[in-house]
Amino acid sequence: MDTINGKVAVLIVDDKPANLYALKEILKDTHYDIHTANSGMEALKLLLQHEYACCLLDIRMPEMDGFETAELIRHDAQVQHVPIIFVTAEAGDQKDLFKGYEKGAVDFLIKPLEPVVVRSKVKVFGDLYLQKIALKRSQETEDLNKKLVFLNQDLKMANSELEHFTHIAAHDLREPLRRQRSFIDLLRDELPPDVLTKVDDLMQRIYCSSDQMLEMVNDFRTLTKLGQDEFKRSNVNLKEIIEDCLGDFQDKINGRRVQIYFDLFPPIVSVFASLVKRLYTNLIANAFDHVPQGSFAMYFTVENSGSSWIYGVKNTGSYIPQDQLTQIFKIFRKADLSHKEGTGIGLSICKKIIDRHGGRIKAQSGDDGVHIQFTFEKEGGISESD
Amino acid sequence: MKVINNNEIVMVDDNEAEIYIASMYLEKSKLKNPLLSFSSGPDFLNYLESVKKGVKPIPALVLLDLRMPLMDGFQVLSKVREEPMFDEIPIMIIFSNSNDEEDVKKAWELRANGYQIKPSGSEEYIRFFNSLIDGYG
Repeated sequence: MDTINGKVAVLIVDDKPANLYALKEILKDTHYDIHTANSGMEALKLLLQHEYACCLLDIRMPEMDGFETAELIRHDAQVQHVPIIFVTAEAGDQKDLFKGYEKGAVDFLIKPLEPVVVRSKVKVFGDLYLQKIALKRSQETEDLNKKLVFLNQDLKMANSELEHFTHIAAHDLREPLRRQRSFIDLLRDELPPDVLTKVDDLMQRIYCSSDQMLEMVNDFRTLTKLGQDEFKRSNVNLKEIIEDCLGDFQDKINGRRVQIYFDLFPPIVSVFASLVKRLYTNLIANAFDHVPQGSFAMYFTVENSGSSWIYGVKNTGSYIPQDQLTQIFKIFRKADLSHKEGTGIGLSICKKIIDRHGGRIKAQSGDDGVHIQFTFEKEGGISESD
Repeated sequence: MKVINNNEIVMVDDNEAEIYIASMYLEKSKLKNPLLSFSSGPDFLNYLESVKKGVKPIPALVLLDLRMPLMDGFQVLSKVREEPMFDEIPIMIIFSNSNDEEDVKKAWELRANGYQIKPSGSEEYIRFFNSLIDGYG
């Protein structure tokens, strides 16, 4: 059964074309879709095909009269609830001839038909029908929403299980690595000086390699930790946090003669402070990793954008191809930008930190370098843990 | 936290490599204590029975790994502290790699004398053992 594209349909049943025509004329100014049937059988056929707000049913028809048709309608589970308006030539005891009242609304129209009365009666059923549809829709929406909530919960659970697994895996991976570093140190101590000079480079390489792996595993741990609810927002001075981060890079900054520039920062912003420190540390490290050598400039930018601040870290001297600008925030990216230093997880951690703040992060690259920008809501945004 | 005599330093850890590393660094440190190791909590508790009987000396220090099968470090610790005679044994809980706030809190509640994240590399290890002579915390 199909609903006629949002439009309310009304069925008129009469064996005389003139009567059908008259009723159609009366109802033509309403916004209803008018269907006609010239016998009880045809009416039943149409009722099975479409949904009607009501059915105007002439009582006096050959073969199957209006009452008989109504009886059949009331016995069919699919159509039994359609409201019936009997059209009759005279007022009287005919009401008693029909017994199926309990299954659905029944009304009567007495000929000669008064257009105003016909229209108002049909309108009552039309409105009722619309209400019924609206109610059904809202129930369907509610059911769908409930289903969505369930699915979402499943997804969240699966995701948190996965994160938990990664966390444990990273934890366990770290242990043998840490021991390996001790073994390398112990081995070095055991070697006589003349042998050590010969193998020192090799030892350094083993050490660096295990160091890198350890760093990677630590980054994984950080990444998985970000999903957990252990952070609280606080009001901080972002510039102070950045200067703090820069302190850890002081040797590199001096060594590479990096020029640092700050835009004018707003005094206070509400963020997860420890995460934001990590964010800036990673972005600064990222700049160093991607500028191959020599001096360069680093800008800490801020733009006012209505309800949020757009912060950013820009560096000269490096370039990211356009097709990789969104890739760089993914953990396992195909286009590997770095045979350079860094674990490659750094920027995914940045993305996750910004996600956690409900903000957005993007990278731009042009002739003047690489600019990574991200947003923080001015009013502290919505904390998921609230 | 300080090692006050030259009795054994006891290490309880299910990982044999961990014990090997610790024993190597202990030798390189200024500490003169021998190392006695157990690969599980029950083994160590069993040893303490002999200490109770006066057959074995009270350890100078116990380094207790937290994550072990059978009994974890906390379970071992609380079992040891049940015995009044062992109230004074210095016990350090060894965290494998994070000093999770909850774990630290629990260590203090169970009357550990300290906690330490497993050192990595020569420098950290030797510094750790030497700090036990100079005393800290």
